Amino acid sequence: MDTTAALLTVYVIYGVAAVSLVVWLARTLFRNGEVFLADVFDDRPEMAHAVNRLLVIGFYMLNLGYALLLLPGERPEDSVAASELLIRKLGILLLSLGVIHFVNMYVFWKIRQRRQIDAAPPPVLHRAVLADPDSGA
Amino acid sequence: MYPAALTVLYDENCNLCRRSAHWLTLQPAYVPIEVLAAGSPAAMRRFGRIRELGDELVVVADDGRVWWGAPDGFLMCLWALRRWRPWAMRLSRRGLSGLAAALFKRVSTHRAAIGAILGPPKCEDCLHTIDA
Repeated sequence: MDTTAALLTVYVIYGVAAVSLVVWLARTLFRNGEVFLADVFDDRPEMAHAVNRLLVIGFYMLNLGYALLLLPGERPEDSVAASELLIRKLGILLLSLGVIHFVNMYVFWKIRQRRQIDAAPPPVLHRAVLADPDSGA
Repeated sequence: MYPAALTVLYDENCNLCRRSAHWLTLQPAYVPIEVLAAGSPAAMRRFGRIRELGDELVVVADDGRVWWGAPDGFLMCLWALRRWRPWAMRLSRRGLSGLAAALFKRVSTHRAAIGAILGPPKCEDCLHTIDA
């Protein structure tokens, strides 16, 4: 009886903490990602918005799913074991969220780098300019 | 400023250059690249004013800008290619630019010797596409 109560407490606290963490992270990502992507897709703001939305939806699904998968586990003997279990699970969740967050940042950075390379001007200054370039053959 | 097309003028007496010119035409590129033998009548007519023509690798943009020699001409060729633009940018930055200049200068100076080892391009149809 005591064990079940302790486990239930762990589940509730874990559930609330996990969901609020994921929501908070996703909102942060959405807000700051918008600024970042607006710079990357400066010619197409609707594209920036769409990419941002899709990334955040993926973030939600991945992290909530993972958080729920982490939930079931061993049955704690007493309240000390229960709090240890809670702390361990939150630790694992936070670490995973951190990893996924950095993967996300990497994706942003990659998109930005790709766009910068595509738009890069010639890397060396020309030595002369022909007055009447005849490029037609 | 972003050129819309490039013309690359290579030394047609050098096998390395002919091979490279052919390679250049096969690569996915950001801008259309026209390769032209530096000694061809078309090159003489259109770009005969450029004194380095034939001696150095010359790259001309459609807006009239001209690059030549090592590493400028080589870097412009890399810049035009999708797969190699990151390298063009890397090799033109401080730190690597000296190394790139030395490397391309060396290749350019010894192009006849390197070409002699490589032999002429082995493709059948590329000769008329690059020597047109």
